[in-house]
Amino acid sequence: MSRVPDRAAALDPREEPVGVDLTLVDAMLALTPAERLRANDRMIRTVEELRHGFAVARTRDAARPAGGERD
Amino acid sequence: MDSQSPGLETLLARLAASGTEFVLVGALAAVAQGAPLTTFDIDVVHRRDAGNVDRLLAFLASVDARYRGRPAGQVLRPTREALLGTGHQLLSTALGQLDVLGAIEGGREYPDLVRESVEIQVEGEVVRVLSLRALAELKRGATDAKGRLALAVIEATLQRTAGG
Repeated sequence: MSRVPDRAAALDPREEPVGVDLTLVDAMLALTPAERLRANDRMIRTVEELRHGFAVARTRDAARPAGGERD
Repeated sequence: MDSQSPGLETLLARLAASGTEFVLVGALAAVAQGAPLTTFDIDVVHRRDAGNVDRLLAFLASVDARYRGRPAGQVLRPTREALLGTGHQLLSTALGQLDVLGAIEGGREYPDLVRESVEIQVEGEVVRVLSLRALAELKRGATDAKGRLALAVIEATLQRTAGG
């Protein structure tokens, strides 16, 4: 969960950058540099697995006869 | 990089282990220093003297580096001449994507960047990384949405660190 900025901070973007999840920043700062790189690698793999999964699903759906059963 | 490949961490460590002098720049440099960004490639600026370029070229051959975006079946590999210049070599390797940059924004080259770098340890190797403050300076010129968002994340990370 992001910290909700108070009104004063919200008026000054230098204090509370818009759109940045500070909880995520703090979580990353708690890791070592190598752990941060590993976290990035895990994210890449997740995206690639999703891309692969969607591609397989599209192929499967294209091969399914019209009016077939839903899964 | 597929789900079983070692990934960018290993690619970076092996590049450092090759003895090539370089500075890690770009989004992965920010990630290494705590910025919650995600990137699919490594950006490095290398020292462009003959000996270093030879070490880099040997490393690139060892990881089967080739230019990205070529038509299927057309393999184009980086050359010594290209690596001696200031251009950008956008490569894919057996371990992930690697962008080898002779110079970056404002004509900054390795000697300019190494002065503004910090050291990190990756798989037992020392890697020089452009500081968050210097990365923020580079990103301040960004006009695209992705660059502006990256700047906001880097500045937030700077503020959360003691030196921010």
